[in-house]
Amino acid sequence: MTGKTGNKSDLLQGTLDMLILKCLMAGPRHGYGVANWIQATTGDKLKIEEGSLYPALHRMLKHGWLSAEWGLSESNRKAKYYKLTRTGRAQLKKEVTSWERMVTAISLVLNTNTGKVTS
Amino acid sequence: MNFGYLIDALKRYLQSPWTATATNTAGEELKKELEFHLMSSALDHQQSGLSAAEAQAAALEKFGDIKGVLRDCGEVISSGQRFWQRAHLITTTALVAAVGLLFVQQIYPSNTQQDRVTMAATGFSVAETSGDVYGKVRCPEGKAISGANVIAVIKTWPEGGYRQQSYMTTTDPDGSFAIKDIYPPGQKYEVQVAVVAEEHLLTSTYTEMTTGKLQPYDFELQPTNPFEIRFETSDGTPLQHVGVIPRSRTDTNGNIHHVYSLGSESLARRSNEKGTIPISQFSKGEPVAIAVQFPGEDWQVREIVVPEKDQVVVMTPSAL
Repeated sequence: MTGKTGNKSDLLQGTLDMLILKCLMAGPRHGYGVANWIQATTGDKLKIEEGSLYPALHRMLKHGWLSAEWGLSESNRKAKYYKLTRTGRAQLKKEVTSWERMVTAISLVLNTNTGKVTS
Repeated sequence: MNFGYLIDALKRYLQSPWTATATNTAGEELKKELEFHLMSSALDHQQSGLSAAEAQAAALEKFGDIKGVLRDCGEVISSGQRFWQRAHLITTTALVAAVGLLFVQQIYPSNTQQDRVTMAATGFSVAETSGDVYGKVRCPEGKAISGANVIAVIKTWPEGGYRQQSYMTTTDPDGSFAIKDIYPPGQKYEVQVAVVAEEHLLTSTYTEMTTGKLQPYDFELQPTNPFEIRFETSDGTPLQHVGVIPRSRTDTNGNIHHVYSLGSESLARRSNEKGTIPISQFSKGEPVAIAVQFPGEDWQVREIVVPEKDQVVVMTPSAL
């Protein structure tokens, strides 16, 4: 996750929310932990600015998909931990379904043999 | 009390509600959260062999636009609090208005409140309803008539409409009577006072639309001889327990003396086992009205002319 400044178009709109929700399925994490999880899981293939996680996390808090509380990190420092709520789990389900539908549709387009167009 | 200072303080309070403080708190928390992120990232870079300065630079580069992140997060946080800010303002304003209203009502109690606390039957306040009806009842020779029933009916027109109340008392051995605090001398009112005594003519007086305190009444009741009414069925069987109340009479000058039905039921007398009842409030030969009630039935008014001689007036239910 060594993203370049302003390179947000690497990630489809709404995909970041899905990644964060999926990350928190395993348990509560702080923002830096979420960033590390995405980086490790994707093998650094997605270019996401770490900072862009925070507006998304706060938006999801507002929607009630996440809850947050301050706790001690692995380095014994105070950190804000985000936790998936029941609404957040339902939202993840919705987003995964929607994502799968879109991938299927795009795959159908890409796998179509268009042949050669002649004038 | 310096109201200007209070109003200024209230304005300042409304202009900087608690939500501003809450937003500041959320901003501080966000700052701490981002500091933790950058510090953790820098430490990780340092552990991978970079110098402190290089690690810090790498962490910043990886994080991206800090100012943009702060701005975007701030918008999310403040948009969530805007609703509560408005709710807070509305609630505060409503509370201030309610407290203000209570305060004003304490200083200037409304008429409605006054009425609720001290309203008299007249529709005016108890303090206003201070007029007494009082006087004496005697025979033409000046002898006091004791035990006579005195019925006073007061009519008033308060703001809320028309009121009519009836009060009753009996005369003392010296013939005097008094009914206290029943009309408002400072307002317009009407009063009718009737006296019903045994073996004396029914006498009443009416005072129209007046104000001020009433003078004492001096009733001079003419003596009279009773006549008898007999109640019976159509086949001549006597009817016991028929109620009778003297209602009205017209004297030789054409004046009507009247007892209002309101509150007069206690004057009722009942026929005996022979179905008879003596009536002694009317003069012979004058047209009168009596209220009659057969057992289990409503009161009805019957007009008769009192017999000149000692005749018995016979009444049957069918004749009523």
